[in-house]
Amino acid sequence: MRIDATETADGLIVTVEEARIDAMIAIPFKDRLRELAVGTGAARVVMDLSRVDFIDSSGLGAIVASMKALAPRPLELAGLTPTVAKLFRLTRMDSVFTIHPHPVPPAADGS
Amino acid sequence: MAADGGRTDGGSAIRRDRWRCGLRFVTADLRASHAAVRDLLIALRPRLGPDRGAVEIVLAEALNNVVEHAYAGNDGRIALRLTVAPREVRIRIGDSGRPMPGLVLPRGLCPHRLLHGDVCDLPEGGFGWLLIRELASGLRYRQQDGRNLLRLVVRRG
Repeated sequence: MRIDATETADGLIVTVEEARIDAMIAIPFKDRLRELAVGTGAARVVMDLSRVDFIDSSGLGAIVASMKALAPRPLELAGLTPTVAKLFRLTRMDSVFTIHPHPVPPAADGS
Repeated sequence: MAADGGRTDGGSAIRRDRWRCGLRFVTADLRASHAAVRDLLIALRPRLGPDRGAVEIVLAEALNNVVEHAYAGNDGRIALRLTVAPREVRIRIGDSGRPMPGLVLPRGLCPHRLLHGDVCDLPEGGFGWLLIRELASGLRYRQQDGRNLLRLVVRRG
């Protein structure tokens, strides 16, 4: 399970380094996000999914669970690849999450 | 399926556009079964081509449903047949697990219900049949001689 988290002036940036968020890793994924939710004081969390090319319904459930664990802080998503964007559209989760079209740019020095 | 995550057998070409694949589970380990489904989906990618998104989603949901609900932690085997046509992929999935409750396919979550209410009320599961029903047509399910047979058609793209 490779998930990087970086505190920036804009909030906590969570970068998922896995190619797939599926039934195989949904539970450890959810656990890791819960840990991050407890450990951060950031007012906003942005999850960069630009390296993820496939999410199934279990993975989507894990992302929804992560959003609940973070509430009332928003969980925003960035950089959805085509099949992942399709999944969010078909399940109407694209109107539940704030979705940024582009990946999170690397944090600028001195921010 | 072996403890190292299983294997797929077959994949032998019957015609240029039709493949049979089998998934054999020789352990009741759910994680290993999920790993076998993942391995199969990755192995199928070159055959499904770049517009495979919808097919990959439907296959993932249908196969994981068999693993989680039909076999529900028991040993078993899934027989998969794919017929790849220019605009659609026809899928046939057979298993010897538990029948669908009431011998009918689940409706899946109602998408309109998802958008009302509090964040805390959002479901964390049940998206699978919603996705299958959104992406697939011609769903046919039957139980015969102790086997489940599911057929569906997915438009490519």
